[in-house]
Amino acid sequence: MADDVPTLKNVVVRASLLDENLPARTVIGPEEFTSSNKSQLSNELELTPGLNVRVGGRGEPRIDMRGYDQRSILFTLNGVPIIEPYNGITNPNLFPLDALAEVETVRGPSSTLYGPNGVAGTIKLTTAEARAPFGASLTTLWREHDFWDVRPSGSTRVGPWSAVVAGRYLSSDGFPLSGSFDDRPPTRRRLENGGLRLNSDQEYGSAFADVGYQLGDATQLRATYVFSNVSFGLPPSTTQFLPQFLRSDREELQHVHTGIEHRIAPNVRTGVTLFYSGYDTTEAQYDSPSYDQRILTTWVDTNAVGAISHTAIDLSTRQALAVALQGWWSEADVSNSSRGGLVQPDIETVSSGVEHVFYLTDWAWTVTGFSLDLQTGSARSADWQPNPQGGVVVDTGVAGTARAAISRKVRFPTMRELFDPRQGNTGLNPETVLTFEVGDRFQRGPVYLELSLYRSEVTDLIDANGASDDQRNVNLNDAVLQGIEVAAGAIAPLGVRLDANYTFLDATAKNPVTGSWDRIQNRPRHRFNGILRVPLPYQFAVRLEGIYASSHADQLGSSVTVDGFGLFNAQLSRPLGPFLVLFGGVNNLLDQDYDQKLGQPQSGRWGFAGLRATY
Amino acid sequence: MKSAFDCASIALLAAAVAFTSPHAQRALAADTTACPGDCNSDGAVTINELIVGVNIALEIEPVTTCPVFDASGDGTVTVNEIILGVNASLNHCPLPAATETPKPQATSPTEAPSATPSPMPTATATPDPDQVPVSDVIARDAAGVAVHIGETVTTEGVLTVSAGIFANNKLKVFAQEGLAGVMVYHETSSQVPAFQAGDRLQVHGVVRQQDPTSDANRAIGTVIVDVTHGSWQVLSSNNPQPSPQQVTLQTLKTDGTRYTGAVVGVADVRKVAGNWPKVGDKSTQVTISDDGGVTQTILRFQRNTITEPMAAKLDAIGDGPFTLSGIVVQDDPSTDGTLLHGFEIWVRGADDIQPAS
Repeated sequence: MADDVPTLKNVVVRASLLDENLPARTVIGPEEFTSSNKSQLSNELELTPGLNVRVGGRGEPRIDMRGYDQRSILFTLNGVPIIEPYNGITNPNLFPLDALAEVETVRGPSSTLYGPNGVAGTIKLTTAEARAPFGASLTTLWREHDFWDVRPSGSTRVGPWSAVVAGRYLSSDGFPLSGSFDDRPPTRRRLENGGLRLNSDQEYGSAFADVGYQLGDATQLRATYVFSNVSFGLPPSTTQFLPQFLRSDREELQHVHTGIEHRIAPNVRTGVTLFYSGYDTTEAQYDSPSYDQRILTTWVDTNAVGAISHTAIDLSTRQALAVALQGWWSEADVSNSSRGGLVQPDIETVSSGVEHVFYLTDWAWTVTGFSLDLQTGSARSADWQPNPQGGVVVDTGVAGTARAAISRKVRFPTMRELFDPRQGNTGLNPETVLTFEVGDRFQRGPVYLELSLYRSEVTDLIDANGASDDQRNVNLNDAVLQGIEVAAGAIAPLGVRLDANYTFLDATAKNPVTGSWDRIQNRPRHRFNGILRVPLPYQFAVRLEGIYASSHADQLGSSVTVDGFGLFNAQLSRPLGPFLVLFGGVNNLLDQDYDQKLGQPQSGRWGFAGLRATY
Repeated sequence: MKSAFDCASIALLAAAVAFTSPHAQRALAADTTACPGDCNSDGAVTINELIVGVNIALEIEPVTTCPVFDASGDGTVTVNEIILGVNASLNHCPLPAATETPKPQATSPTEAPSATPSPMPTATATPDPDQVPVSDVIARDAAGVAVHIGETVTTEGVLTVSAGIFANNKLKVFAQEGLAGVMVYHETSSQVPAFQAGDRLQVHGVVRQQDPTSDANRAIGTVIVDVTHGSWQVLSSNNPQPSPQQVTLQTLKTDGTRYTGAVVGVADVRKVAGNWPKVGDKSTQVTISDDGGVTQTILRFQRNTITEPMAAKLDAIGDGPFTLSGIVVQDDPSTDGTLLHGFEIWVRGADDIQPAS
């Protein structure tokens, strides 16, 4: 087995002083990746406090953070934004898990160094480091209904060079519905009779490569490339009158970034990174669930090219400063087989940010930041937005580390919100969010407790106004998202470990007609999740997971709700010698029939087994 | 003299209604087992029956004309007993135990019946004695406000469009009886069967008015029966569709509320503005005229009507003349006075558009 050796740092990571101090953070590290045996990133994220993972309109998992949808969550890979400029939404499952060393969710407005749009928070993906002289792993996972997930990876480090490669191929005929699946009231549209969910097949192919070079002690170079291509069916709603039969023939991400970091002086470090993201989708509409005849094909191809520069300076033993400048140009080409080209907008985004930390004493310090963010482009005049952030941290000792923060942040409208051929509105203002947060983190030995209370006041919320078939995006109304997050855990004797999270969310938006504050759709008020890991004799290990989400409104202000649900997963694993681990288990152990969105029933009981080889 | 008596009756009736407070209702209703005022035992109390009660109170008619008004059995009819009759008129009589269909309930006891010919529920030949004809459900006052707005009613008609054509995840269908049509609405498709055109549907729900371009707006628009918290029953299927009422756009302009919710036909129409929809488009509207552009209205294609046959037919028509069938829907009348005060026509499918011969 390869020895652990000092590895090259991720040179393009912008270490944020704000992120390290003010927001709530949860880190999913290698240990969790190894023990969870998940095949998709979304399955890892749904066990994180403050996050709710559900099925989105395009059939992909959508991540909500603190009541915001994914347009308000910034995704970064080694500190570089993954930009899908049209919808503003990145499918998290495009990233192969074996390419990742760590996933950090930062809940609270993203750092001023990261520019606009992350009003809910940031999900930071950090890629795997190379092992010396080389390492390799192969994970295979099988589930019922011909689900296969194969993930090879390898790495090497020779002299100043390092390289990591990883891949993933996942294929599934679909997922099973619960045995108690009910097609709801008697209708004339029985498309589902139980068994395998109609059109829930999927196929993922991903490749990852990373090459680093250490030039002396002060300079590092690195290039990272991710490619993912996905095709999947979109299971039709079981409740709509005329379900649409859609298929994502292609969802393709190509992302590359390359950067250099140089230590100018012992206390000054600077770096610059260039990046490119291409995100293309092809969605087809068919006349029947058997995909016999294609009615319409829609293409959305996007490109984004940009650069980031970052400098960190330790001013003294009590002060540090970080500045960043970034900008990117993005464009989209939207067309369909009926009308041909629809829109071809472009958007430019520029942001400059600064952060400062000042230690008042050994146990109290302040963190402040300011960014100036700009969006301009097709039919848009330049919109400059100043965004300050600040807070204070106090290490109380016995009562943990307490923090209080306030920030202003904007989310610029996405290209779709601006330029959609039917709903687009080029006159949209950005959503402006004022967030207040207090929190505390306490840790004593094997026990930890984190508490966060937050309130976000959203002005100029962007939403579609009008009947479902005739909507137009407008700065419709205001919203308030407030809640409490509790994360607690302990490691007991004999290696038993429990992590448990509770999230209370009160997400309401002002109804522009009635003036009442209505619940925002798809936002469960209460959410619990937990993981219990128990080592057993003979090297067996049990892992139990539980998720409970309370009922939530189907539409804004609707009296129709989606039922709450509880899920339990169980897994047993055992090493087979020094290189192999065998694992197996059952997801949705109780075979509960549940929806995450009205008319979108999710998987019932589903058994799996796998083998992981590591060298 | 009779008109003078009528005036006195109305005045007494109005006084009775004015005193119909919830407290009074509770106090008086406690002693009542029959249906006060229901002279003909049809399960409903009409204005005519209330006037009979007032006449008995004024000693114009004997109590034997309608003994059920004499709740106390003292041989006379007092104001309190007339109030019981008014309550029964507003809240309806107790239901027969065997009846399964939910019965209407007045939601506002302060809404007094007017002295003019009343749109209040009357008995019909249908199984539900409290059923309201569609023509009564859509009745409006001079300001365009539905007379029954806010009330819970039972009505029935033949569906002129299937569920899912005008909305996928909500119920938006139209039921027509005779010449009158009304939108039947439910907040979510998950709770409602996929009703089909030709179904004879009996619904029990709240009368509302709606700007059809925004479900949240309550405007002086199309009258709907909202069954989100109500009930429904398919009485029969495959009933013949009502023939379109032939109109001109000028007719719609001057008398649009009469046709709102009903199927109409318009001849010799041309598109005067906008582009025909193509497959994949969302809801699309074009402006049409049947008199060379003098009178214009909106022709709307909801997303699910924009099929390949529809697109092919529209391409073939181009800017040429065509005949049109569809359902009249009233948009918010305050938005644009040039477009027939918000009346527009929704097509149901390719068969609603025919090139002029």
